[in-house]
Amino acid sequence: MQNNKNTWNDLVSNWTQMDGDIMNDSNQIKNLKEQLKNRKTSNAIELFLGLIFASALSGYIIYEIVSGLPSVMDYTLYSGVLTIILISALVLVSMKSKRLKGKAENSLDYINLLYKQALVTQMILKVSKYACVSLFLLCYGIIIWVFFLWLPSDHVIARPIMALILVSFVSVFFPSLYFWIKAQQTKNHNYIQQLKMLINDITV
Amino acid sequence: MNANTDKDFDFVISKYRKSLYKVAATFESDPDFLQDLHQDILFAIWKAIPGFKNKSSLHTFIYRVAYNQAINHVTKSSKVIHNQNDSNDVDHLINNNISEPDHYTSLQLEGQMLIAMIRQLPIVKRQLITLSLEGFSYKEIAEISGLKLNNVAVQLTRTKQQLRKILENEYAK
Repeated sequence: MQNNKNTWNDLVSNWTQMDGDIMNDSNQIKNLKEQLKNRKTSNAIELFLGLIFASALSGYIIYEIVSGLPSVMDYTLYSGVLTIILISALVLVSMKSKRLKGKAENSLDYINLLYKQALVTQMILKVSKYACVSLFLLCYGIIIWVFFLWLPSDHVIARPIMALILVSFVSVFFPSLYFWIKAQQTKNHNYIQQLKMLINDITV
Repeated sequence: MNANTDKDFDFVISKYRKSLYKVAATFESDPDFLQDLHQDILFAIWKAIPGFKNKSSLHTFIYRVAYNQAINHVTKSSKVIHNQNDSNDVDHLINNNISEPDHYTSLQLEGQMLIAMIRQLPIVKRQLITLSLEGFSYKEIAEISGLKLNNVAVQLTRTKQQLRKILENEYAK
């Protein structure tokens, strides 16, 4: 017992003595504070610019919708883009939200909070994946409708070139987005597993 | 950030910077990532200080935020299980420097070895052992970790035994 106590006391003394090894340079502390201040400023700037951009873009889209669009297809497309912008703005705000770490009462609370957030993220990613496939099909539908049914047939050269450019863009953009979302889903799934393990460790 | 918060943060930096560095070191072995984590922890505390409502002591509040940030770091970077690397760290320290005669270096080395051994423990046990090394009572540890008081005692005893076993194994190699 005495031996155990000595070992523990040795560990405590090693732990405490380490403080002497960590630099106590006042310049280093000053630099650290400067870095933290810069980080806070750049975070605020990122949030501000992001929100300005989202507001300007969504304002423009709402203005276009209110002014009137030529077809139902346009309304669908504009509403889709508006939804994506608003969701991105919400994600940005929640990512930069303050004091989350201080709000949780303890580590278990915090891990549970992260777990719930990760589950919501997984759900959003799942919906986004379906939305991506739907938008992909919708874009193809619009291209076919515009170029083969709606556009007058006298645009002999412009029609196939424009159609080719749009088809190429849609064929690259949406599959890339789909696979990126899928990769995020796998990453988030692993993250959920890590959190589950931690919750089990604490509650068992 | 108002002047009071700034003053509180200055106090936190001067009083807790070194302890928080050690906490970060038990979660990250790579020196560059360790610096980042240390900075992340201080940044999280800076952001959290205005929300401090005196429900708990500032001491437990600081460590609560620090551990939350460390947990964030370790789960996001998928480093919950990295025992192999840390076991190698300890081997490296023992094989290369243990016979170093200089007292100061040997103290430094023992500290580094202790941290590398703590890193071999599961996260929850890492938290319990470092809080205990920092001199927190069982009640305070329970408050920070979210474990029940009697569970803290049980887990901490087991963790100490596990740490001793790691220590014995490392020296037996």
